[in-house]
Amino acid sequence: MVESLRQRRRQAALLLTLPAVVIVGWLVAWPLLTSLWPLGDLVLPPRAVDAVAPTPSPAFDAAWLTALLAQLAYSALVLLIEVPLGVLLALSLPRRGVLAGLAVACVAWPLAAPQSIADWLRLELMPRAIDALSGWWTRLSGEPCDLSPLLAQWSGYVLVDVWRFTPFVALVCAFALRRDDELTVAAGIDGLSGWQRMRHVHWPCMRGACGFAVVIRLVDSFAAWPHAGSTVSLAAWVRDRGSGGLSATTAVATVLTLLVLVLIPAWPLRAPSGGRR
Amino acid sequence: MVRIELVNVRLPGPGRADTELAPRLTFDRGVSNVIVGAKGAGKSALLDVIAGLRAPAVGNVLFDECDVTAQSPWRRNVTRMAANSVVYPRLTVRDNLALPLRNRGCSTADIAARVAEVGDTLGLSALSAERAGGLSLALQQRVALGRAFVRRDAAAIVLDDPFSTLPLDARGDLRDALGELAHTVRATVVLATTELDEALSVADRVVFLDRGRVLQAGTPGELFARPRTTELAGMLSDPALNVLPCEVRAGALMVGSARVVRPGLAPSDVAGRRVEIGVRPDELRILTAARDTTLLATLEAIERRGVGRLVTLRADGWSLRVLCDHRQPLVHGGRYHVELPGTARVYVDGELADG
Repeated sequence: MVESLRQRRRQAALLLTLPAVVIVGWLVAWPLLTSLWPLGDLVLPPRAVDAVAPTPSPAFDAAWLTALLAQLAYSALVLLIEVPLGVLLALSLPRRGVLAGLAVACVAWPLAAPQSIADWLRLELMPRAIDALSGWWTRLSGEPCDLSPLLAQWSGYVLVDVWRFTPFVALVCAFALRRDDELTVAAGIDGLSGWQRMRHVHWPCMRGACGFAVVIRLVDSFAAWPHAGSTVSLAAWVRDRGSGGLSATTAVATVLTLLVLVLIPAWPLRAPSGGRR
Repeated sequence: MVRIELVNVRLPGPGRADTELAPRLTFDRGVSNVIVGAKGAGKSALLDVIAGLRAPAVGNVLFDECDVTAQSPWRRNVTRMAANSVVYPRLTVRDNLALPLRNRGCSTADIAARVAEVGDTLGLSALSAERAGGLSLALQQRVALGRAFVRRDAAAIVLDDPFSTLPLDARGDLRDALGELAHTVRATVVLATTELDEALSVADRVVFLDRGRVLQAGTPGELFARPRTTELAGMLSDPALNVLPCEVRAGALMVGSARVVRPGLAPSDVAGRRVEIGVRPDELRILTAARDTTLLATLEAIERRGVGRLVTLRADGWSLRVLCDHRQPLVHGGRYHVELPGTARVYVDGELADG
C-alpha cells in the first residue's frame, strides 16, 4: 500500500517534470532563436514568409477588443456545435469488428482533407450557397432578402470548421469509450435509461478525452478565424516574432498551447483509482 | 428462483459452434452452481448465454421450462458480476447499490433497508457516501458483488470469475460475504472460476467445462469419487493421478504382473481397446509381502508433504506416486510391493467404464 503510494508519487513527479522541462527549455531557446532568426535572413535566400509585410502591432483599442470578442464568440460557437456532435458521433460508432474500422475511416476522412479544399468551401462554395438561398427566398416570398456578408462569412467558417474537426472530437471520445464495454453491459442488466447511461457510464469515461479535445480545438479555432489578427500556432509565433508580427491573439493561442502541454501529461494523475482499502 | 436448463446448446464463439455443450445441462435452484474450466474453456460464453447477453449458436435456454432464448437480460431478470470491478465511478457506494433497485421500481424505504443490509454484509457501510471510482479495486469488487446481490427478486445471478483480480488475502473475505449474500436472495446462483479449490469451497454442484463442452457435472463428492475421464481425474487429483495402462490377459485385467479386481466389469468386453486405470496416490498402499494385486516397484524419491510423504516408485517402466505416513519405514532404492486397490477407476478409451 505504502509502496504503491510512493510509486504513484514518483510517477506524478516524473509527469510534472516533463512539461516543466519543455517550458524551461523553451524559455532558454527563445532568446537564442530571436537572435539567430534575423542573422539567418542575412545568409539564407529570402523565404516566402519574408515577402509578406509584417502585421502592424495591434492598438489595444475598442476595435481590437471587438475583434477579440468576435474570436471568442466564434470559438465558443464552434465548440458548442462540435463537442455535442462529436460525442453523439462517438456514441453511434460501432465498437468491434470490421465495421468499426470502416466507420472510423469514414468519419476521419475530413481530417485529411487538404487546406485548399477547406478554403474553397469557405470562400467559394459557402458565399454562393448563401446567395442562392437569398435568391430562392426572394423568389418564394417576393420580398428582397439580403443576408448580410458577415453571416455568409461566419456560416462559412463555422460549417467548414465543424465539418473538418468534429471527427477529431468524435475519434478522441470514441477511443475513450472503448474502456466502458463492461460497464455498458452492466448498465443494460441494471436497466439504466439512455440518460442514466450517458451520465453514469459514457460521460465518466469520456470527460477526460473530451476536455483534451476541447482545449486542442479551442487553440485550433483561434488559428482559423482571421479577423482578430494573425492567429497562428506556436511554430508560427517564432516566425512572426522574427518579422515583428506578433499579435495578442497569437499570444493567447500560445498560452493555450502551453496549457495543453501541461494538461496532457498531468491527465493520468486524475485517473479514478484511489488508494483506499 | 428458477431452474435453468440448456438444451442442445452450442456456445457462440470461434471453433465452439461445432461442439455441443451437453444434451441437457441443468442448474438447480437453491444451490450454488459452479462452472470450472481453464481459460478459453467457454465459461464466460456459457454465463453470457444464461444471462442473455449472447445468443447460443444452437439450442435453447429454459428458465423453469419457459424458453427465454430470445429474451434480454432485463426480461430474464438476471444480474451479473464481471471479473473486473465494474462500478459506476461517479456514483457513491450507496447509489451504486440502490440503482438496480430504483430501476425496478422498488420503494424508497425498501431500497434504503436493502442497501443498508447488503452494505453491512460487505463491510461497506462506513464508505456508503464515498464515490465508487475512488475506492481500491478490492472495495470496488465488493460494491460490484453487492450490486449483483442487492435485488432479492432476481431470477438468476451469474458471477464471472469474481475473485480472479483480487489479491489472495482479499479472496477469502469476499467468498464468505458471497456465501452470506446467497442466503438472502431467492435467485439461482451460477459462478464461473478457473480455480478448483475456490469452486469446491463454495459449490453445491460443479460443472467441468473444456473447449466448449461439459466434461462432467455433479456434486464435488461425485466428481471426486468417479471422474468421467482420465483428464478430469488428473485435474481433480493433487498430487497427480496415477494412470496405468492395462491389458486383458487370461481373462483378467492386468497392470504388469498385478491383477485389477474390478467387480462388474467383464474383461472380455474391453479386449482390444485402450484400457487404463486411474488411481489416486492416497488410494495406493505399500506392502511388504507380495499378492496377486501388487506390483513390485523400486523406491526412487521421498518428498515430505505435511503429515505424510509422497513417495515415487518405478515399476515395469511406469512411475507411481503413493501418499503414505511417516511411520512406515522406507529407504531409497528399496523394493516394495504396491497394491492396486479395488476402488481403482477403469477408463476405456479415456472414458470411465461403468460397473
